Amino acid sequence: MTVKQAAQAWQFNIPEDELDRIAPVVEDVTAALERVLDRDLSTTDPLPHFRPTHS
Amino acid sequence: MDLTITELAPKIESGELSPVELTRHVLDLIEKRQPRLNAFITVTAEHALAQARQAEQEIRNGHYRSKLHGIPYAAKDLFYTKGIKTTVGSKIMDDFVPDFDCAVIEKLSAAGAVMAGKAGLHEWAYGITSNNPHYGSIRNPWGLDRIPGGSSGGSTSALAGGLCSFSLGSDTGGSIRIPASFCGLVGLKPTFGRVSRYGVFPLGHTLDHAGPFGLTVSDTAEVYRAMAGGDSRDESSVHRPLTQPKFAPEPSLAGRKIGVPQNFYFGQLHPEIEAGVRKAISVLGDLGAKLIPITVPDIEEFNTVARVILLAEATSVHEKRLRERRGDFGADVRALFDQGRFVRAADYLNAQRRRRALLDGFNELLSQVDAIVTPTIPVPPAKIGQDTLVVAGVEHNVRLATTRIVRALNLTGLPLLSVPCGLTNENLPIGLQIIGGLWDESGILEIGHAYEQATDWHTKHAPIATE
Repeated sequence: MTVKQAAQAWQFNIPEDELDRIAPVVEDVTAALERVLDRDLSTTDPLPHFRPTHS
Repeated sequence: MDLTITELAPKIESGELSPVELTRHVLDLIEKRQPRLNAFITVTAEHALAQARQAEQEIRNGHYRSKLHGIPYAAKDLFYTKGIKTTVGSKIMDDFVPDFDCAVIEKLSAAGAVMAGKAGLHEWAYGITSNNPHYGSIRNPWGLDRIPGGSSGGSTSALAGGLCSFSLGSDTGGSIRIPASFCGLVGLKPTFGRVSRYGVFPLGHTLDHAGPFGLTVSDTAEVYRAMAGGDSRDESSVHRPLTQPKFAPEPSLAGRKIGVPQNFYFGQLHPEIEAGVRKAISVLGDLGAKLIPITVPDIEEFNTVARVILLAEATSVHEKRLRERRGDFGADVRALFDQGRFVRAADYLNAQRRRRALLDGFNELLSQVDAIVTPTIPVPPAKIGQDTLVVAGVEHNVRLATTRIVRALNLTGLPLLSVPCGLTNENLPIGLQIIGGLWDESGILEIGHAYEQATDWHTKHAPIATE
């Protein structure tokens, strides 16, 4: 689903011009995260404790 | 007048300096300079004078509370203050008056400090320029056409502008260290959990930290000491003994090991900033520290992780407001909140799972060295309204360039200190970032203090502050 399709499906009501500006940014960030997770996230990596300094 | 706590506190304790006179002096300066700096959203003159009168009476009666007794400060306008407007830099909360003080303000009141005003900030603390569409652009005292950094830009504009003795900020992706560096001040982001966030308006629940700004390292340590401590009202805070930094009269770092990253942190730097920071590191070596080359984890990767986590967490705070009062958000923050609506739950959770690896990487490094030093910000403060800047022939987005070094570290919760370490050819401040091990605020404050003792950058003042 594209950013624009998602905005419509979830009824975000973001004006078209604003959606045009943020769509490429959302796509870039999502793709960058996907690369990171594909490369480095292991199935056994746990969710950190709510307090990241506790362990 | 020298407004450092170190200078003022003994005079106040001895009765030589009246807290009421000091407060009147500061309020006069605010009246004169606020039109140029726009550092404050609300000046709390009556409240400050009442606190100062109480301080004066108590000291006269032999009840000197602490080195902050009678000392004027500014609080970022997202710290809840009972009976005093707290806007979070937003239009939506422009008439919000909390009915309680946040934990940090409670502690500072108990220490006898005098709040002179609520400092301006980037709207909702979500940005690094402090160009606020509702309250106007906050100006950098070192160059009135420059941003002070953000989001705690009013707190550093006020302090570097000579309008208080210390100030308070919050740091979610650099919002203490960026304005500290841009305004030539000391800024401390304590370990996550060290300072209660009860009553501090949130931006990113697992990334937010509250901390102090000071004119010197010892001043900053004094405020930090007053702010720190666990609090049952903030589940993320921790009851843990506070170690006091030991500030030796003669600066020495003999026996300390300081890591100097060989990757990431010294890339894409403004050349004058690189020169200033490398010179600062050589001073640390001259003071006896053993400088050890290290390789840090892939920070670009963790910048992505931090960005996704913040997008989701910030939008979770504001989504209802975004639906109901969309037009009352500034365009830049509205765009960020909208971006956060597209982060999938699975992506947010997987980003959180990946986060642990960065902390593990830094913990491993910090088991071999006492601290790690980097530049704080790779670029000088941009001009107000400037969206891009060129570093080494490459054009960068101002927001991304400014947060490049500081952002990912919020994932770790590690304590971080920025100290002034130079000026560019345009007389704009440069900052050195010192990264410490978990709970080792004392260690980084001691290193910062030794550096400060050996140099004179902390004695340089913004032009407007010396008028």
